[in-house]
Amino acid sequence: MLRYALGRIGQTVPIALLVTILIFLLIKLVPGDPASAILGDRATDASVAALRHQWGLDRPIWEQYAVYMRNLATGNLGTSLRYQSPVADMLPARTSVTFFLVVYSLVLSVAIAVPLALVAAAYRDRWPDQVIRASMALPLAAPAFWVGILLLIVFSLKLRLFPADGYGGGFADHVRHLFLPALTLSYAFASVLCRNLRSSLVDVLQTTYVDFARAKGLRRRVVLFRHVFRAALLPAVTLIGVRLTYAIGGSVVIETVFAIPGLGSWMVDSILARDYVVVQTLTLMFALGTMLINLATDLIYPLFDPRLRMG
Amino acid sequence: MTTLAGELAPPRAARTRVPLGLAAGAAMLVALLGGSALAPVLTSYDPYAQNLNAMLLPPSAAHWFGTDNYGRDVFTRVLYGAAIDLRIAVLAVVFPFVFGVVAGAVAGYLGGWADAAVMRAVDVITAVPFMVLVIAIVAFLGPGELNILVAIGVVDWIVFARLVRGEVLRDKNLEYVTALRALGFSRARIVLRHLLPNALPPAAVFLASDIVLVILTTSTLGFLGLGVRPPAPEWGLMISEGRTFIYTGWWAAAMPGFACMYAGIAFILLGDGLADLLRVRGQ
Repeated sequence: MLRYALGRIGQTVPIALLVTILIFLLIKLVPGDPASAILGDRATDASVAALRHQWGLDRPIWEQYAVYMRNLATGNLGTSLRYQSPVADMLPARTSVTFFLVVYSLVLSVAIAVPLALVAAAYRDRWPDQVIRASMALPLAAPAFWVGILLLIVFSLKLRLFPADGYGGGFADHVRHLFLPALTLSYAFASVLCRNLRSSLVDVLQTTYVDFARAKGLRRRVVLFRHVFRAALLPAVTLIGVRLTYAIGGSVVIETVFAIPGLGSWMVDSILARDYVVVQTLTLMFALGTMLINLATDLIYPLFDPRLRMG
Repeated sequence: MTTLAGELAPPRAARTRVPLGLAAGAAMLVALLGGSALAPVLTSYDPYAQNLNAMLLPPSAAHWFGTDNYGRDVFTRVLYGAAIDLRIAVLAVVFPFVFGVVAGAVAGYLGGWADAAVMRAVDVITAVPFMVLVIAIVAFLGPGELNILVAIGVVDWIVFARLVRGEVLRDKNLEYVTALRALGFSRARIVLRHLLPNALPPAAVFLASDIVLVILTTSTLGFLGLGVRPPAPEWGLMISEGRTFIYTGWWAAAMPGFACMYAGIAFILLGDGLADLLRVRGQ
């Protein structure tokens, strides 16, 4: 197990290095000169040259990358041109907001998907199953930001049940403020989780040990929860990892819709303000989060599945 | 074996029947594309002309989807918008599909350094969430239709590469491929003429759901102000513009979203139907 874990961690390191190269190169995509693009109307020959020198754009590319990596290693994540403050100072507060949102959406997805999947599998191919499967296919085709706006219209503006934006103060207030955004983020996840869980439930229901449990005269509900559900949860673990990374991507647009002060809305603000350094750093943060989740999923999976425990 | 399969095969009529989903999805798409192409005949409104006397009118017989804050007919704009969103969706998947299929086939068949190179690229792109990377690339390139195509092209090919690589890896040591090698066929011929045709159906089925993803991505970029520029009637952009007025006219933001969902469902049905069809043929 330890060897497997170390090997898996060892695979992540070179990928992380390649990711830093990819993100470092993003700035090269800016048409023309990034320094004059950022300075815009304020650009003079002298100010452009000064900014180019400050960012090291006048040096060879490998040297620029070396500087970039040295800065990352020493925790210097760049300075926001817009706020004139170091990115590293603003990062913790923003990260905790996005983290809260993503975990909240995960909890909601499971709360939605598990009961629906159980009902669908129990009534396989009959009308409850058909209705659940059809309604779970719909969200996959709807843009998340649009669903968020509809929820805002109905629950916030018309019914006044939830606040329309912001993060609030204190845990209970966060839960209330982030309910609609988390629900918006979770519906696509819930849909995929429900489909996946239903099909593994159906598979498990056809095994002989379930037939045996029924033949013993156990009640339907007991068989479903004690024997079937536990076995069917396994494939869901990997899926939860994959979908968590989707939720991170989705948070960018959802935070913008609900004006939540997390990493995603910061990224969009920075893009519109051409605050390139911040965009680069945030892309890197999102990538690191994704890699950590993927790593954690691979490390956790063997704990759930005894068949995969390695010596 | 072949005789047995032949005896068990369903009658010809049943085998060539078009799956219901495929027909429904195709019909929905034809209706949308037809509506978009015939938009100048179907509606008397101009998608760009502002009418300050008809601002934010609710849905009615004259304006099926109501009007937006500039008095433009939302139904007309949704129809014209279909041309933009569907054009981007179809164009954007061409490069990822072709490049991903070729890269996956080459990686799977050759193995070694070619496989390592392709798979490391796949790993790196997988490490950044799809939406974040697309948004980041467009952020640095600048908004606009061409840059959306570039960003999706860079990010989206990895799914097809992974899929086709898996199929080729599974098939490349089967007896018929060994026989082809023994006959002295070139590697290019074995991959292109024999392995790819078997690996393509799953990729083609996935293409449909990938188009849904691209439609959602395009509208998201439009919504964030990073996609198609105003005043184009792109659906995401329309939702973004309508969002400011949800208190007084919810329809301006709601209707383009329904269009998006309609197109998405059409492609999902198409994909499911295609999967059914190919599975029947494959047996």
